[in-house]
Amino acid sequence: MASKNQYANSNNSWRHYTVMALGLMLFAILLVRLTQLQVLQTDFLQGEGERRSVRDHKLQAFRGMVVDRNGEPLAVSTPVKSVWLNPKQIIQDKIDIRPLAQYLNINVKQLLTKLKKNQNKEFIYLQRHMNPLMAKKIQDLKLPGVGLQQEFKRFYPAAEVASHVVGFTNIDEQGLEGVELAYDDWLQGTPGKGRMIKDRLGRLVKDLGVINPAQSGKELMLSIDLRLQYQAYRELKASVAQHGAKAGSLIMVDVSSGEILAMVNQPSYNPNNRAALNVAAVRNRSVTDIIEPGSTVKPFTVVAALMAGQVTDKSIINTHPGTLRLGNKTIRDHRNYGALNIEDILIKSSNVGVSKLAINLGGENLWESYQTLGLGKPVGIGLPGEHGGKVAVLTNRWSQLQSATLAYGYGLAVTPLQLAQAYQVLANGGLKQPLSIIYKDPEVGEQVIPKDIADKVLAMLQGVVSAKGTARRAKVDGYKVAGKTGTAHKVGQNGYEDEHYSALFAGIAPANDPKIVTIVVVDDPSGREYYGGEVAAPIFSRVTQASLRLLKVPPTEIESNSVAGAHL
Amino acid sequence: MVLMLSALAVIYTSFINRQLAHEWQILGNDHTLLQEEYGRLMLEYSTLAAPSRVEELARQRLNMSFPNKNNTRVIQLDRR
Repeated sequence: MASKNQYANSNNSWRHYTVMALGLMLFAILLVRLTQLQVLQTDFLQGEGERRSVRDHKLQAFRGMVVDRNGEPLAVSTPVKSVWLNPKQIIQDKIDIRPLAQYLNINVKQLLTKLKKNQNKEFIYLQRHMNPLMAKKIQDLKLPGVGLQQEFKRFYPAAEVASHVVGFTNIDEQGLEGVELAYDDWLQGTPGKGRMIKDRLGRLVKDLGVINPAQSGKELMLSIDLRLQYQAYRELKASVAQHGAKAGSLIMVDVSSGEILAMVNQPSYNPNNRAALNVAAVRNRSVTDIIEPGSTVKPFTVVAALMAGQVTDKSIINTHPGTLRLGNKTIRDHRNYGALNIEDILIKSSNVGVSKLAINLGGENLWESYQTLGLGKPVGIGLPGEHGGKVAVLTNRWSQLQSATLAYGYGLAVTPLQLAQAYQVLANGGLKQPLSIIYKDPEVGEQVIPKDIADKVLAMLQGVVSAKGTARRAKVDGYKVAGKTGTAHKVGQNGYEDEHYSALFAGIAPANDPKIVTIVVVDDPSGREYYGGEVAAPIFSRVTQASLRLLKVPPTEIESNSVAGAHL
Repeated sequence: MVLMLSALAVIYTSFINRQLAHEWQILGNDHTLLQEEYGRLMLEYSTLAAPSRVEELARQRLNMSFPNKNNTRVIQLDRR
């Protein structure tokens, strides 16, 4: 009290003012600093603050399903959990990971070495794609430094039946093969972004909501019909095994729309279990591999000859004596067929006959008509690895031999897919519909062969399947079918090999009102049978029989009972 | 007075906002769960309805077989 009185009483003003001034100065400093922080640096500081607390997290997007034309699933994403570890935290905090190792059934020692190796990292995956039940158990352990992440795993219900078409993805759901790769952008979703406030230990404080919602991938509907695909797969597999063949392909196409209803290959693989994946089995042979089509292109030589107007369907070609010598090569028939009309040339598959047609026509014209049909040109179906095929280069001077070999299917190499395209044109009255693996509205086709010529050649091909033709075993009970066999020597290291063949059959059913075109290729059958008519034609017959029934095409070649409409 | 009213309105709308956000989140969770279940059921369905399985069951348990030419009749409707 005394000292206070002393101050008040002593009117020593300079001390008073000094204290006042100092006080004001301190206040001013505070004010300046405050402005600095609150006004001038506010953005920076706020940003820094948020960097320490606000966390963005990825919102998972679903990958779209792949389904067949009836909506049956071919590829489905199902949610699974992946376990991750923070090795740095686990080592620093000496967390007991033994129960974790026990659940996951892994050696504790191994887990410890893994942690040691990654001790400077804050994130490693321990196990990916676990089933939800196991994940729940691990979550209930509530170990710090151990977390679960929501992921998706791709399942392929049709497994090896549709694997070449559908393909597969990697563990991060990026397409690697088939339509999974070709339509990756369409199927893939865009992950969204959510924002939340977390404390230093990563515990949730407040959810700030969603910044961008996740955009799920779109569904992809293929033109494949799983029922037909399955029939085709089963028959092809059985036959390839029966004939000891190296490989095989089968393509079935809807005639009026160009949609691919079935596409199977042997060998195949199971996309759900890729541990024992054989690289050669992954290839979609009907799209990526080229074959010499052999006699299966003969109908197109006839088409070209008819279109050029040099022959009519009534013309007679003399194939006597069953051989034709051109340069230093001799073209042979099985035997001397003598004089044949155009239909019989196809029925007997006479090499000499079509060679004579082609020589009259000139290689150039033949080359051009092959091109318009799509032989030796990529179909552009969009599946990865499609091969464009090879047709001899167009020159001005075609030798007779070159023209002739082109006519009976040597000197050009095509994919089974291209052959399917060419037969689609023939079966559809000359109207070309680009083949498609995607279910879509039909496009307006392109008339590449006059309708009357296409129909005439189609009628001739019915004879091939008759009792006097090369493809008796392609017969389908209850239906009229048409088709052409082919047997081609395979090309080896020393040119054409004598002992190795591809057996082919291209068929159209029903012949009176074509619905489906089927191409069968069996590569290198090792048994006693190797002709297209012996190996490939029976596959066609069985697959077509089942397919026509599934497609509800009424049989025409069966005794029919007429019933008055009024009674039904 | 107007100021007071608008202040109260702000409080009210932010309350509604929070409520709706909460609801949205719950529905979002349900959506994910349902999608998970849908995927699982799809898988289950396609395993059970796989053509190979159906064929085997039809042949072995039900003694069914594909019809052949001899046991097929075509019935045509007479259109008059």
